[in-house]
Amino acid sequence: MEIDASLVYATLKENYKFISVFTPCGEAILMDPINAYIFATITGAGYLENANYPFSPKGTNKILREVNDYHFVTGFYNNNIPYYSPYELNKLKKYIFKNQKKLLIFDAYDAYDYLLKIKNAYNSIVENGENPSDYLIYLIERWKKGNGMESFLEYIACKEFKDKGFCVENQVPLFATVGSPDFVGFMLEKHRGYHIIELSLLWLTKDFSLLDNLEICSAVVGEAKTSTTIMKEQLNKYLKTDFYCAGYELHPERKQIDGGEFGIIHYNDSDIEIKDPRFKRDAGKFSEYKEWYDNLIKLYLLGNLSKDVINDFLVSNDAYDDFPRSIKMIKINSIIKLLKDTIGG
Amino acid sequence: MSSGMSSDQILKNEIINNVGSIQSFNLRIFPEGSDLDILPVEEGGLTYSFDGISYGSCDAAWFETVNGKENTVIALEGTDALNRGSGGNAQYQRFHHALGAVKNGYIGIYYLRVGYNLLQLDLYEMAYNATKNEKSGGYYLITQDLSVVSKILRLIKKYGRKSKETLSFLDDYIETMHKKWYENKFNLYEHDWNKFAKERSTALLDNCVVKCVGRMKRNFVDSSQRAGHIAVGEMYLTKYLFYGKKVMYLCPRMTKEDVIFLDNHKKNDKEWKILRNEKNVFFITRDNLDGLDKKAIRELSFLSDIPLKGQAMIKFTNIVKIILEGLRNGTIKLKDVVAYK
Repeated sequence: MEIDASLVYATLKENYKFISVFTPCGEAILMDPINAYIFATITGAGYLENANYPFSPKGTNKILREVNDYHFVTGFYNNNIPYYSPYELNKLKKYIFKNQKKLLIFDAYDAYDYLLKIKNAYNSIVENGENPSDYLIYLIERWKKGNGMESFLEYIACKEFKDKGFCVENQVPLFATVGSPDFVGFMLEKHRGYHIIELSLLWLTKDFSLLDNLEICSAVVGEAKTSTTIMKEQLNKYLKTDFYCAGYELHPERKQIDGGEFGIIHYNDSDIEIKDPRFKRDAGKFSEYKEWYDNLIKLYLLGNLSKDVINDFLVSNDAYDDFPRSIKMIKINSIIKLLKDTIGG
Repeated sequence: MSSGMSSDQILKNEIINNVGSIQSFNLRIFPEGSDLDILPVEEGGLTYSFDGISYGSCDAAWFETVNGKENTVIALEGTDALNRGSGGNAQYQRFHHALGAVKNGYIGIYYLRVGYNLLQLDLYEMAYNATKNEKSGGYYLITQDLSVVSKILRLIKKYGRKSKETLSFLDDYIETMHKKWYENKFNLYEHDWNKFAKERSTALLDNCVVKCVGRMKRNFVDSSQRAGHIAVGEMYLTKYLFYGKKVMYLCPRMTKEDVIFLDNHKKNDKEWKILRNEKNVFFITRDNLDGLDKKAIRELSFLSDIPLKGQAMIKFTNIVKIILEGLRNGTIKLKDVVAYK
């Protein structure tokens, strides 16, 4: 079973209740700007801001390189200042967080087809008098094994576990020797789920209730595959860190795990099904993981602010020279207070 | 390890934001993670070949449509190496990606994004010599400013690719590149080619130039080590700095058997094919040295499969000095050097 454009449309409509609209380019899924942004950061879908190279925010929401390592990767921050945080991205590309977005999903079969679909979509939208930046385009690379749809499985895992009360993220830092999990869910004590990037969108949403919902009590990990069903070895590497209480295989077709040692997320026709593992593991080092996570979310929260405000805050806390390592010494309550004072709530 | 934005993504966003699509030209650029750029340019990709050799894929290219056919105007390869700790050899590793376009008579541009490390000035002279001596009508430009690309496209749009306005701009640009190298790099060697060569583990002989490197067979077998890219960069550095001479790319830690093994097992490896097929370049080993003493040969055999660190590096460096001095004073000669067929 391969995930193609029609299955993506069906998944979004039937499982996640998005509505579809008719556009000059055919059917599109209507999304509010935040859902559209989260979809794009996970899957690599791009905003049709030009006819050649849709802008994708994939990778822009990543902050740290590894667990227990306080070096930035280029993305959210660069050279110790916000770079493509949503707040900064909004300055560069105002269209991202304005207006409803229409998500177009196409199958592409080769290089020419790929580029032509982008160009044709762009031109059709412009001819129709609409703003092409209000469109996202998601091209499925049909020449790849499994159509390269692992990132869509990561999106599904994020949606499912968010609904179950987890803070979710895909392509998550762990250790270079172990790899990066495709999906991690951090179980929230208050069981109201969100995507981790939503912590950096408070300047837009003003949803300060998230600030009372930061504590986590466990974590699960997932590995996505579309062209093979072999995920056990990689999942076991993640689980050996003792950070996670459960592992999940993310695969379109795989319906059963022998012995039930892992959970599974899969399709049943166009419906998404989750089977939990038979037992939960003892995550003996979860407290160490949580300590790092608590510092990571401080960095996401700070991303709600301008560079100047962040710099001033770091200087006043004697944390400027050693940033981001110095984040460990800053109490989360002082960041929460800064947010409430600066952006209201 | 979480990777954040890849350098590919950063570069391509910059290309779009700073150049983008200019009317009359079709821009071909693929998103990060796509494998479409490795397709030949004739099949919609961004990889240029010349005389049967594929030169690596570019990041973007601009085409004009003439009589229904797309012709390359500019092919661009970019790197963020200067922001990722690459102060030295790594900057040369991608030089050959845009070279394929130049050999075909197009404009090839190598863009090095400004960063903590300085651009190696030798790149300017390499590009200058590639332009002057490939005799294809192509131009090779090195830049840290993408506005150069927009400027050229606008000139071509207004006056034409072969117009005097466009050619004058391009000619002035490459002369400026040459001047930058000559006045700021070559002057450090008092404009003396022998001094220049000596600092670079290179022997300048009457009919050839011998570049001596520490590559071993395992570097090429294991493609994760990127030795192929590094070797190609070193080879072109030698070829285009000492242009006009045959290049002997000497790996004294390797033997003729190692080369035969790699010829048989790396038939489809792009970088190995370049090293073995580039015109006027010969891949040679210690087996091609006549007059090297037995002790040195034994040492090289011992050093043939270990990392060059600590004592191993000291020993190897001493042997390289012996080899190069021997080649210069004639006590060591090259033998059985044949072009690869």
